[in-house]
Amino acid sequence: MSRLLFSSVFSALLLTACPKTESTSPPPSTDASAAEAATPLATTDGKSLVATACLSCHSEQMLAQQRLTQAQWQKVVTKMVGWGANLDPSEVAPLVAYLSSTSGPDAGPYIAETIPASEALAELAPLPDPVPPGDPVRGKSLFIDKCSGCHGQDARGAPGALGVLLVDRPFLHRFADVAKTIRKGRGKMLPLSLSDTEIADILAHLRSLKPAAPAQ
Amino acid sequence: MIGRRAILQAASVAALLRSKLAAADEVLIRQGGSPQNLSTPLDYFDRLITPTSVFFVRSHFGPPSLDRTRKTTFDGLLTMPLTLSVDELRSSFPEVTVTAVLQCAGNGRSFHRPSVPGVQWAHGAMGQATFTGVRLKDVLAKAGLSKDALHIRMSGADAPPKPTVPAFIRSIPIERALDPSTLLAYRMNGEDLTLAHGAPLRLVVPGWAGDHWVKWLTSVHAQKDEADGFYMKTAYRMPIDPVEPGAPVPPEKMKPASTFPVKSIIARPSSSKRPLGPQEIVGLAFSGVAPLASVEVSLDGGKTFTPAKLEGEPGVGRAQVFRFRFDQKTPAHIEALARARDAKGNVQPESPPWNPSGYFWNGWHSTEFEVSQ
Ligand code: HEC
Ligand code: HEC
Repeated sequence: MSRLLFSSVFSALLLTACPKTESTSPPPSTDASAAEAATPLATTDGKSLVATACLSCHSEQMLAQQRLTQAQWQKVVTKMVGWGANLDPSEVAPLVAYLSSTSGPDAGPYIAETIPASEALAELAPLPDPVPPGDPVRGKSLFIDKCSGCHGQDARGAPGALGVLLVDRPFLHRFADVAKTIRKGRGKMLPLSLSDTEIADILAHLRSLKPAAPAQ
Repeated sequence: MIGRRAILQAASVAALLRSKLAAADEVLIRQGGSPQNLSTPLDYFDRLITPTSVFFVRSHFGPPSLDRTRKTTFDGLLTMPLTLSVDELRSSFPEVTVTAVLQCAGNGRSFHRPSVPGVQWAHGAMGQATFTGVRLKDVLAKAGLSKDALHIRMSGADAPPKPTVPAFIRSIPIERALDPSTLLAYRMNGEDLTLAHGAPLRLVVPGWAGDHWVKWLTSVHAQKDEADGFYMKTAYRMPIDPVEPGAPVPPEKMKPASTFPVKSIIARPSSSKRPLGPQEIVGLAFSGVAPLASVEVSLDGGKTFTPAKLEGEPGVGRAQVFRFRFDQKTPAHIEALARARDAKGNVQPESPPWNPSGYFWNGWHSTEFEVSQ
């Protein structure tokens, strides 16, 4: 019966809150160890560890919506390091402590934001370039010089390299997004001051690269 | 006078005909930014077709860039391998449209206790649409499918963000691949697929969870064995027998999660206050195993149930709208819950067994509201 009660309170919440918010609220657990492990220092450290290690392949919502015990977070972080998260072995424990305290079983309901459906479409839509088409030959040498150390020679990343896949992705057709990443930096990518022309050249090169062969 | 149902049908037709741009008041629930994981608000489950603009989006790595000329290769145990674009598929094979529920295996994951890792979907990782394309079996026949082919392996153009991340590869058994409802689809709700929904081509496997409906499809490979890899051998598996919540499950006690179980979801009323008089509980119900047999509604916490009226056509993996009307003459706090049953006798449980990845939540859904003067 408690399950039923819970799910009805829950759905009432969803129904009344909809379409504004959708929340997921696990019942409290008795696992307090995670919360105790969190100190203000760990929080600052934790946040920056998330920013440098956890946002290369998905956004922060993927972390914030979880309600996991310390043991579960340990497993998740181990898996993500195996998949290529930019995290030093010494950073695992503080990150796990931070995640267990911010997104542990007792963290309370997660309120997901709602977005206009038009925004969801717009996020993926190609945008016209603000500058004339770049030169792929110049772009290639710029890429090899400035980017390939982290993104791999072929822009597909490389085992142990910091950067991510830059081939056949929607952001290649959104000049402003790429320019912002380059000039502001992101995670372990440091800011680089490149001109619009140089960025256009690099994009011309990246757009010319063939999509990956089908995975076997 | 135009009946209420006619108005509703007109409304959903209007939604269908609406241009690709979403209307200003339409929203999605953000479960993930980049890549997009977006959930459909409950309000839209009061109709047979979920508008594409608010249809849930599930991505592992995010889409490749949009390229409607992207080709799909059919190879492996085939005498005549083929490489075809959507235009070539359309001109070479008969076009078919199916109406089917697309549901993420993890829909409802947030309700499992203890909590498990993954996108914490509530109810909105599902929807029903029409999908138009060609039959996979027609293409495999033309390519000369060998008798030795027992599985069809699929992958899409969405490469992992780093080479250390396992690629998204799925396979389906040959019987399922040859089922006439299994499509290579290029249209959804009458319009070209959007990028988020797999443009230019995706697989459609009615009754089976969304992970089989591979998007941005570029490779279809006939082979002897089930596919390997993380997304076959580790992810998308369920315990063969129910386990203690939270208990670890050894791999040999797991089986692939394929068809989704019988389920109903209440969409309306969507407000917590209602005036005295006629009341209506409306929602969507379906089963991935068999056509729907009934939906019943209880107003006494599950002690007694009364059948609701069903609309739409029954089918495997096909949703019908249910509608339950009653008159409330005195002020009251109403708690309504729905329970669906399919033609194989499966009944929606009060709450389903826990499983380590939080798949296939199909517990009773309920709604509460105040009826007053
Ligand atoms: C190299 C890419 C990459 C990086 C870096 C990364 N993740 Fe992930 N993560 C993934 C992929 C891929 C998934 C599965 C996505 C999906 O199925 O939607 C995932 C899923 C998850 C999930 C959902 C549960 C699961 O196991 O599927 C959590 C939680 C998560 N990541 C946390 C983290 C944390 C914490 C970090 C930082 C230490 C991190 N991720 C860094 C690629 C990455
Ligand atoms: C010091 C290593 C490094 C260098 C040099 C570098 N990058 Fe990056 N880049 C990264 C990392 C790491 C990420 C993932 C960011 C994160 O974790 O959020 C990234 C992300 C990106 C992204 C965003 C991908 C997305 O998913 O939206 C783009 C675009 C990009 N890099 C382009 C470039 C270009 C172009 C250059 C050369 C001008 C370059 N990078 C140089 C490390 C680097």
